[in-house]
Amino acid sequence: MRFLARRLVFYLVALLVAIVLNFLIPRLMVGDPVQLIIARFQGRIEPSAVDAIKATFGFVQGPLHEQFFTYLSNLLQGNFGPSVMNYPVQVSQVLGASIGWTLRLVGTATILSFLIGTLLGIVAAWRRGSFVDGYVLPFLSVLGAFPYFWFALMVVYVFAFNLRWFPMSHASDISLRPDWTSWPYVSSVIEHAVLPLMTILITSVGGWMLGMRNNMIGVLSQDYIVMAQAKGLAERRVMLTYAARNAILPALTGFAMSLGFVIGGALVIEIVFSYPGVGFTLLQAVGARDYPLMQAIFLLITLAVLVANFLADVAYVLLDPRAR
Amino acid sequence: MAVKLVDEPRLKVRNLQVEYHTRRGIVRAVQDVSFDVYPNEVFGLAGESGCGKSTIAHAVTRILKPPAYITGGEILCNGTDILMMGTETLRRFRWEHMSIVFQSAMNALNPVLTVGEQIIDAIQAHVLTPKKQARQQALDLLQIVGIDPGRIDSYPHQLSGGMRQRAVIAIALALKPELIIMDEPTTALDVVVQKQIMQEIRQLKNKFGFSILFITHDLSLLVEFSDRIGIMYAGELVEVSPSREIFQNPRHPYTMRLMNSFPTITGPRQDMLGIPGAPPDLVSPPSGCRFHPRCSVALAGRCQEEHPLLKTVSPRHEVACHLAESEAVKHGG
Repeated sequence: MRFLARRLVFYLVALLVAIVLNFLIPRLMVGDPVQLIIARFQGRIEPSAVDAIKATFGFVQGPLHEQFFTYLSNLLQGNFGPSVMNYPVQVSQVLGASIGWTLRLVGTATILSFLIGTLLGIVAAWRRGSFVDGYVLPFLSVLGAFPYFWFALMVVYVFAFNLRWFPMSHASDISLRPDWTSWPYVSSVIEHAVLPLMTILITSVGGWMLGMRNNMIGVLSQDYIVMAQAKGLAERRVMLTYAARNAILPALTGFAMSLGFVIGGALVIEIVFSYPGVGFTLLQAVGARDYPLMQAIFLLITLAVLVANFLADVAYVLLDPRAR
Repeated sequence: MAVKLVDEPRLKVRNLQVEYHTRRGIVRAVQDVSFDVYPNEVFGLAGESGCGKSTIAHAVTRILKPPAYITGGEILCNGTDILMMGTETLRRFRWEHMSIVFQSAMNALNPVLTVGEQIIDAIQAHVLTPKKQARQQALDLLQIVGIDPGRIDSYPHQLSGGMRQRAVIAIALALKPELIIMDEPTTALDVVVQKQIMQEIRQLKNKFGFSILFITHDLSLLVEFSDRIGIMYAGELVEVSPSREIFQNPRHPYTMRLMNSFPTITGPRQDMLGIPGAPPDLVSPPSGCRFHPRCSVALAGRCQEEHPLLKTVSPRHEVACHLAESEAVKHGG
């Protein structure tokens, strides 16, 4: 437990540093973001309105530390100010709309990819030289080496454009009213998710599989595996409780990292499929120089990575008695 | 300590042959090895690293993995050939009749399971036992090997090296097998703990009446602990004899050299002779007697050409050496 407490302190410090940087960077920039907004009005703005705009975007007058505390208290209330490109819609609302899509799509894809890849890796290591090890593994590794935006484009071209099995873009049929209790809407969401999900899955599962297989092979040469077999334990028990239980430990950290990056979205995938997730929103924010939105997304990614890492620590403690 | 050799052997190894298929060629790690282990007996196998003694231990339990293959011979335990068993028969047979204690207890225990879980595992894999009863048995076993039963829920990393080795022995005893194979069971431990554990193993053996196939390179330990000893060289058994006799009257030049390469504490001060040269490459072993290139008393011609077989030189004492019957070898070495 002391281990977890120490980690928690570390993550809190890391988060604080991220917040401070997030606060400082726009204020240190030459010509702060507000100047950009004002420039948009091409001089058709009264000088007295400039201060009002500044205040709206959180650039209040006063010493830096006072500004910081204002910023901090706004953050704690989930108030990131208005989005520039969607003015006057609040950043939190913009994010609220996109984060669900990303979590569902990329979250599901990441978890599925890890589970399937790990399972295949266990089988490949357990039956070395078998079909799974000799053919499935190299095949998936090659797929994993493809640039995934290219793969996504191919998938769109073949399955959406040529065969028309699946829709080309968006997260749901835009003619339908969003309603999670109506089957037509839900089924359209699923239909729209299939291609991006498969793309992420196919290009990432090989990496998990290869990693798990190699960990597993290292563990399989340990004496305790041979002893478990000599003890006359059932094969499944040796494979799962003795080998896989130990082999999965190094993979946990990598899994936590990728869970953390889920929030960032599979940027390129979301762009190719015009999927209205965080990644797609980030791209738009960059294009529109929507600093408040970008900042909020970066902060959110940082937070997600830290939370995921902490969860990995907890999982580690639960699975590896040596870490307790 | 007297072992009645009139009993039927617990373990009969006949003409065992093990090969490692490597890129350089076939390594004949064990060549035509035969020996018996009798009830309640400790049979020791000794030799330099790479002489095939551990390979034999692993072959007997059938845990050899490719590139190692058993290419010939029989391994009879209580009369049934282990090499002929199907997967499920073998799984049931293992641990119930024959268990193995590994070289390094550090690695022989699963780091993510408690000691108790690993004992209970072994019990439940063979006998349908309710969890509670299996746990009681595990507690008893820990007591027997001298671990505080309160440590049942400890993980391996929480135990000292000696305790870990005791835990491994407790697991080996879990199903009261008739034969325990010990592959350098105390090599990783310091001498004091080693001594304690060996004494405890002997007491347990007398209490439960199992046999031990004991494998080590530590001759002094072997002589003290075994009833009979087999000396291996380059994959072959070159001398088999009761341990007292082999200690006092070794007949094979290699055994003599081995006996000479560790100091006695109580005996007169002696120069350590060691054995010149290195063990042969088993891809292409020397012709004739495999030891002849390193042997100071080898006969030109015969030892280089004719492969010596194990011959009885005195009751229960077998030697594979052309010179074993001549007097010359007694004083040579």
